[in-house]
Amino acid sequence: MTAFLHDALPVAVQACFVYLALTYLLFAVQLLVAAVENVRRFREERVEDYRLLAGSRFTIPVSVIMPCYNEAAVVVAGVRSALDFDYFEHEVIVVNDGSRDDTMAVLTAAFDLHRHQIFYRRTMPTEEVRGLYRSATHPRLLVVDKANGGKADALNMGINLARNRYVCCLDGDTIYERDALLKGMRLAVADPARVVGVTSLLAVGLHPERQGSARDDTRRIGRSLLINFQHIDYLRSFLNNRAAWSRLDFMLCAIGAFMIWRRDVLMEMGGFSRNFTCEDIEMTFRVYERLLREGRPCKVLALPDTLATTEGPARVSALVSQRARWQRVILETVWYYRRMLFNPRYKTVGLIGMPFYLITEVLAPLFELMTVITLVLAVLFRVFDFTQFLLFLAAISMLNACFSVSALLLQDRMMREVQWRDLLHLVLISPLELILYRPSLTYARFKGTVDYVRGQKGWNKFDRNVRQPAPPVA
Amino acid sequence: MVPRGKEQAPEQHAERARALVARLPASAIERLAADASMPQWLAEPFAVRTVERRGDARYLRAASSHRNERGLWKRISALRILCAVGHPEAPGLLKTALLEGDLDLAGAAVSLLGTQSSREAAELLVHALRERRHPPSRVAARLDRFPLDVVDLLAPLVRDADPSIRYWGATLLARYPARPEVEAALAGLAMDDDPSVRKAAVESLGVVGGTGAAPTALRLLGDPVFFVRAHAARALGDLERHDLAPRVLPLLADAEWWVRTAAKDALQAMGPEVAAAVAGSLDHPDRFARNGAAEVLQNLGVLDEIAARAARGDVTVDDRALLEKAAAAGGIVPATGTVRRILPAVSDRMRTLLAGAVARPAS
Repeated sequence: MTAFLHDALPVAVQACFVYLALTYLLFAVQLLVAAVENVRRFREERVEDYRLLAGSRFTIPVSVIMPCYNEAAVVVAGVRSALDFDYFEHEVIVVNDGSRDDTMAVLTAAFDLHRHQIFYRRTMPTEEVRGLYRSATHPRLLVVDKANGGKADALNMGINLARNRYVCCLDGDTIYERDALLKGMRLAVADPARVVGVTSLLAVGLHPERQGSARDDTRRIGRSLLINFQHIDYLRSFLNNRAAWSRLDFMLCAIGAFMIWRRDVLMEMGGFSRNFTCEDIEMTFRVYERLLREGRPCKVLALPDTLATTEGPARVSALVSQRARWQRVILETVWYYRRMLFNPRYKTVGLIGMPFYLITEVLAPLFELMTVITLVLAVLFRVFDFTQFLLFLAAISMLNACFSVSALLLQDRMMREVQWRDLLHLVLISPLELILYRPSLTYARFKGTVDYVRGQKGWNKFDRNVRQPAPPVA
Repeated sequence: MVPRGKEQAPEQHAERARALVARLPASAIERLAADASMPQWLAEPFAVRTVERRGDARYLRAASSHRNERGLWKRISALRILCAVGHPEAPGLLKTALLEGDLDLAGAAVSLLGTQSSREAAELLVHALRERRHPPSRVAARLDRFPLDVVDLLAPLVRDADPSIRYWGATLLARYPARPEVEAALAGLAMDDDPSVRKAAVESLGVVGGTGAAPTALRLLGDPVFFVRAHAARALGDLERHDLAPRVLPLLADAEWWVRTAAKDALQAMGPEVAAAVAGSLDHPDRFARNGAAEVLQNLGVLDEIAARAARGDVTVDDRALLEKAAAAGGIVPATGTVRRILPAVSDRMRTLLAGAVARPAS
């Protein structure tokens, strides 16, 4: 056995190196493409006249849909931020998806809700509606109270009630910037025939309702390392990855906390699916699959602007639960749409996007686990010594940090959204990410893969971060 | 952060701008002068300063052509700076930029042309609309806010062979309600073969008004295309012609959901005067019409008003009948909502009366 390991380990170590080299090469190429795209968006931003766009009667009206489930702690701040969007015409449809906490009560108290009869088209079947409410103080607000059916069901309910050509799907635990809708819709308004979807970067915070805004120089980055690492992770995901995917026309994941869709496309797709763990990535895949198969114009774009702050899990167990769910839905979706893989009919989605997902997302947990086991065994069996192991680890940490710092600098180059002390803090903790943060993600991805194989479908929503108790609802 | 210019006198703006110009390095001033998010009071002194320091030749050269993407954005910045200082060659350079065919460049040119107060700029924008140099809605937004009266430039659009151009002509004319020729042009477009043009015409007539607006909208209530009917109903709502509510009521039973919704919106926009006519539809044989009428009465506050009267003890037989019909037609919700809203104010007797009205259709 020992002899076998001595023979096999060098080969396994080489395989791990090859995988790591390939992955980092892909990331590096992606970063270059993303840099070009980010600079382009930044330049566009500088010449765009947002004042005109916000005030023009030709700006396309939008229906904002905000599903919420057990969001009593943050929902009022989230709804207020959506009502405050600086936009010519928008309605806000909040769908309480059978919350078991005080979500409905706090909404009723905060917005002076009254039950109303509204007749609407039940275009998509949903769980039973308990009541529709109008606000006495905010005419643009409509609140739906319905039986629990999951986020996809709640979004479909919102689409049934939506009256405008575009819908903007948000999360109830996220606080949005005033210009979020305007910035998102800018790209759709410029090319409505081809741009069917838009998504954008989010910041991660412990308590987003207290985080402040980058626009008025009040945003603060806390000192929770776990939240900081998630913030960097989101930045990398958007500025290094999605920007490149957007440029290359395979933006395969519009995130649930901010996605704008053309309503006719959603209707044509039959609404969000309840057959998958999460609805956002599946809808993106479905839109590409259908429209590209039929040879129709289709663009889903990702913006580099931070348009909102969402609540990140403050505990490792909650983070693992969330990321395991993400991994599961990636596997569900990639497997379901596997016919697009290497299929030239689906253009860059089939030829680049799907293979990229396969290497960096689907197979990643297996290779990551193999790498960890191989390296530990290699040290134990003295294929290389402990010093070499530490040097290797340091090299990977620094390489990893390079990508994180690139994302931080890209963002800072476009718009300084955090104070320099916070920026410095994020840069300094970047090399620690590999040791302190990535192992949790590796475990979460492996757990997600196992859960997928077992056929688990639950949402596993993480518990809200601890807050001061809210005053009792009258 | 950009200093906020609100609620300050122009001389205070100028003072603040001068202070900033004195403090900032040349590269920052140039960058800020070319930034579209800068308010005019700040962009102008920055642009003047930057041209003083670096000379206009540099910007004229950059604004006249470009070779690559980097050059393109430099060109757009130069155009913005030259426009901000009111350089005499700026209009010509904008024209070249607009006609060159690059989408980003054309977009910037359209944006800058919209800030010029010259007839030539308006002509170029109309040209851009016809030639589709940029998304038409963006060009139209500029023309809609153009500082000069350009109705004579828009009028020919309504005679264009391309229906999409006629559409934009009809839409943009809504800005000139006082001009007599506008109403006539819109009335003509309301008979256009293309439904989108008819829709735009009736929508604009709702804004413009005039003697011919209501008859035209009434005629289009029977249009074979659903979105034309919907906008005709909305136009009557915009005109606040509550006397015409009986003509809109049949649309509550339209086959298309959009039309039914537009009819409800229109009736609500006409105001509480339509209540009596709408109440008549509570007996309509079509369920959608009955639903719609109940919803309109609810949103107009008619049901709440009856409830308030009931609380004062002066509820009539007609009121009670209306409440019962609304509860039957609109489902239980409007009436229960009404009871809940007035509950603290009503006497036990009235509460029993209202609860009875609510309970009857439910059972």
